[in-house]
Amino acid sequence: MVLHHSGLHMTLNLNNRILTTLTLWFWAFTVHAGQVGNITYSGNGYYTIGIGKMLSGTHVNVENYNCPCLISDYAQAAVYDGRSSLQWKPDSKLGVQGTASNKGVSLTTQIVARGASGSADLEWLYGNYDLNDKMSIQLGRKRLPMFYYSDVQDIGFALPWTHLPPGLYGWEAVNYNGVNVRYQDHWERWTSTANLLAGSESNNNSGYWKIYNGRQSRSNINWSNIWGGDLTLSKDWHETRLVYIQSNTQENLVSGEWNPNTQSYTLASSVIYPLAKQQIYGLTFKADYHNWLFHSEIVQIDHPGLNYKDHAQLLALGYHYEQWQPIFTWGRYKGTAVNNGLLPGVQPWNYSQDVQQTVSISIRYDVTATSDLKVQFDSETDHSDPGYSPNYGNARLLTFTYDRVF
Amino acid sequence: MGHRLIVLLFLIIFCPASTFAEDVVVVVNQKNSVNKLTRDEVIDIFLGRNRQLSSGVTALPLDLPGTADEREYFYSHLTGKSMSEINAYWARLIFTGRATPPTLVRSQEEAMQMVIDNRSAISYVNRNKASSQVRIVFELNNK
Repeated sequence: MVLHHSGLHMTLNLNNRILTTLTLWFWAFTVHAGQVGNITYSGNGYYTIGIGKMLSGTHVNVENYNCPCLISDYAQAAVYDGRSSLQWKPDSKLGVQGTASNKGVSLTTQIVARGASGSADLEWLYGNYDLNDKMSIQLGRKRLPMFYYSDVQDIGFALPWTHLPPGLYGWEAVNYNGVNVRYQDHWERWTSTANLLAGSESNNNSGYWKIYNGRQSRSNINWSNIWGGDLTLSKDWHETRLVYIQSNTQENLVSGEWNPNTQSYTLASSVIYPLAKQQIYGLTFKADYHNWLFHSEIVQIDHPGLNYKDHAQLLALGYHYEQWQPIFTWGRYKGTAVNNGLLPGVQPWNYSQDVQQTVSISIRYDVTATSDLKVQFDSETDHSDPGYSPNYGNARLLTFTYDRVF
Repeated sequence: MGHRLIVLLFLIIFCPASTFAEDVVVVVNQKNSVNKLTRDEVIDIFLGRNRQLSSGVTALPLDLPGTADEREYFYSHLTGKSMSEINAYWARLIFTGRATPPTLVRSQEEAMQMVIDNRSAISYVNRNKASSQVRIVFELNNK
């Protein structure tokens, strides 16, 4: 068995995937809740069975992907490509969670098996201690709360889409190892939740960078000195969320030859990009008024050391009528250079603009109180500069998902 | 008389079960000093937003099983949301450890017993199941 360690991140190789998945299913369906002595334990889970078909788009080969392509999850390198057959891997996943608790102390773990990565990954593993009724502290591995839906990005049933809008919800790190302090309070009809976090994250085979460096590439990423927080204010039908996170980031592009037998790379060379600071700013406004749903989200990421910025916006409007929920979504991503895009310490680079715009129409039908069916049409238009690489072009994709929580 | 009895039996047999759930009350332990709760306070307790009662007690909300008509009636009339929307809301909290859902009980009878036995417990039940040993603090009906 080849085991890649990245902090608490574990990836199980092909030989164990089927066994792991079967174990997850068995565990999820047999364990639900119980008590042993003073320890209360509970088990929950979720899954999404998704299929998709690329309808049309720009026919081009990009970074070993046979396009047209639509990236449904950057962090997992989940890509719908130009093959004519139905594709199930990008959006299908199964997650199980177990929690054991006793008198204000609890331990939670969540494992997710994804079709895109072909592996089962430890996503959450943290201990929680309730300092008092309003404040708690968590220590361990958690989701990095960069975006509004970060915490539930894998739980299809909690989302109005078959997959998250990729332009905004696409980044290289989604978890971190560290500490988080949560404070929750109420006054009048307002509820506020604030989190302060600090930690680090490393990933020894980043899915995100396979999109940019090639399907067979391997890039290691390291986020150090992560700290920041978020504040959510909600009252009745509306919710506003602010987030700020900063870290130092470093990417190590490993060149080598992939050996499918050993599931590892024969190292040839590596390029270590300079350690650089990034600052993430986010603002979300969400309304759920009578049957109308409105979601807007803006994220900006500054990379002062690398001389570029990311901007992403999302607008969605939906309506809930009995079991049906149609929603229209517009999203846009733009990466721009500043100071002529000079990359210090490596070489001057002629950075062109990377711009994608996505329009989606999704319909959700609630099959039961714990399951739904969704159909979604995505139309992505690539407005990147002609010189920008990789240029994935346009894509029109149809996806269906069945989501369930248990 | 016989004709009226037949009509009455017909109504009882064929009347949708949900109509029996349309008089739901929220009850607490008699030792809990809370006499009345507002709709917003009940929403906060059962959606995990704020479980601190004015009596100083931290509420322990109870949920009836998913098959109970009273459960769907309670949430849909309390919040205006379907059970699917409520469960999606809980999925966001459960899988991120942000809040604990109400404790699931097997029946209204078990809910009543827990409220009688536990000073912190709070449950919704059909009015005709409410024991005289508990206090009604909120009424949810179609009137």
